[in-house]
Amino acid sequence: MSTMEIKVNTLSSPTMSRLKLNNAIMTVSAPESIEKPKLTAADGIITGTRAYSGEDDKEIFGSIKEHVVSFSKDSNLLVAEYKISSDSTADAMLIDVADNTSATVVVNYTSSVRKGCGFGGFKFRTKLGKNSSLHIVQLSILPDGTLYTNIQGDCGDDSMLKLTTVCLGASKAYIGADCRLSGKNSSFDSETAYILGEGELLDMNYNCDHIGKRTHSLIKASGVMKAESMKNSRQTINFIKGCAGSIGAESEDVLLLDDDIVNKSLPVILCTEEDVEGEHGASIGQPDEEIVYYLMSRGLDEQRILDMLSAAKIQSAASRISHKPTLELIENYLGISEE
Amino acid sequence: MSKVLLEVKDIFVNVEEKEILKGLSLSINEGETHVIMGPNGAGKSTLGHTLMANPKYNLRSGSIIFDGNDITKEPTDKRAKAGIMLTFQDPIPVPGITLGSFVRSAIEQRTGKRIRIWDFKKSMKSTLELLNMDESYTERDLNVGFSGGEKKKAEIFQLLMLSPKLAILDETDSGLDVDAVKTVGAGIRAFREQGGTLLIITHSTRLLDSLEVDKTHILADGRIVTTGDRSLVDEVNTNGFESFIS
Repeated sequence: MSTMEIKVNTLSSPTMSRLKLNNAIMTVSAPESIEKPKLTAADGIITGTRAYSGEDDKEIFGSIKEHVVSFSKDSNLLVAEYKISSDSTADAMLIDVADNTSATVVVNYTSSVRKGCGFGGFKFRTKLGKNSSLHIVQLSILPDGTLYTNIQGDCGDDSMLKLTTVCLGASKAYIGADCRLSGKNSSFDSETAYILGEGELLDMNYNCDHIGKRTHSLIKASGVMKAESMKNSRQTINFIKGCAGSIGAESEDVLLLDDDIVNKSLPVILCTEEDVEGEHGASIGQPDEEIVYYLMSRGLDEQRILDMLSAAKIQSAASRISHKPTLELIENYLGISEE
Repeated sequence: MSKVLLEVKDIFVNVEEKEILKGLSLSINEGETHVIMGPNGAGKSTLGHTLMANPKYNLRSGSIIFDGNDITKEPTDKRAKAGIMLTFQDPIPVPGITLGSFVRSAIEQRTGKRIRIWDFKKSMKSTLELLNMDESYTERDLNVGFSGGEKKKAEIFQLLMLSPKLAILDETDSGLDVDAVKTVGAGIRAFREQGGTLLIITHSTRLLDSLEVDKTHILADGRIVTTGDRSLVDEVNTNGFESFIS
């Protein structure tokens, strides 16, 4: 089994190299097989496979065939369930959403082994027609192993790409998205939530290019970091000349549950157009003492409070998910199942 | 004769370097309603938070006996589990945790038993009705975006659901309109009818109009300077606190 080092999550505008955030180096075993997901969708949505034609990540996906997915009716749903084993695997999809069409793609990464997951690499390239919308939901609950996911979007006039990513486990997770708002009035709405367990790494890179007029982007991440975990977050909004009237916002909300944590955040706003509004904000810190005292005054012990505050960081992203089995996976993981 | 539920013996409490309570003693029997009144800055809220073991308040000396046990060194959650509950003057917003899930978790932690969601919903129905609260309140994030009245109702909702032995109400009627005072008052009476014991901290007396009061204490400059019956409330209403402050 050959091991390779791959440069991923590359920042669109390299900055101070001492921060070591211009990209991430992912060390993985070369994929040995195409991951065969359980795909659930109405007839006619998955139209076949073809050789991977993307320009990026060829080291991972260059030798595989990608699923070709085409949504052309409203209320479309595709569910992809990936069971990561100890092997090193990869899969990719090319998703086309026709004009005036709404669709949802739910992707769950779980494990077929209790311990010793290998590498799973997954790529979703999407193209959205006029007045269409696509919501991609990703959930990762892996005991260990390395996960790489990347989503690319190209949005036509009045379309919206919505991403909801919940990352609840993987020794190392590299997740990212790159969205081009080409059409006027198109939008990108991404929310990521995570809980990083002891020693885990999460490396994120979200990039949105505002090209069309009056485009909107929102890039949010919120999560919890436990002992010796490490998180890198890159959020880039790029206002390109001609995208007049566009608005972009990026935010981070991180709850630190221990001292020995490495938390790096890099919010970037690039601008070559004058008539735009861009903002970023961050809230990073340990649990609020007032809140802990208030919750304790009702009889909750510290561990239960930290569990509840951790679950609360996932709540906003989870509330965007309407696929019940995926929600149940999250609730069971967090121990907040209603029954 | 009723048993003593709470005995506070000669406590001295600091907030940072400032001494707030200066040798305060208080004894409350099971099932009684006591009122603590006093001018601004007298130490009323400090007493409530000291009884709840707020880490910002430093109990330098003295002791607190609750239900026969010395809880002077017990932390907040242990005191709450023992049966003390403080309703906050300004309840803290907690984003991401709904009122319903919070109360359910608190009951589960107190009892050590899992409650099925439907059983919980059934149990809270009558309490919500009593407090004129729609069920949707319980699905809102705890105290987030609540009006002043909604916050106070949510505190009384928790009081009735958690059913502690002793409830310390810290300025529960402040900022409430006439109708909200009536609703909150109905909730407090229901708690009393359950056999609950009350320590009401207030400098207004609107809430007391519909409650039977066993003892009234005037707190000034960190000590209880006078104790009397319900008539002391009326005396304060007429003459203010001036005559009690040396």
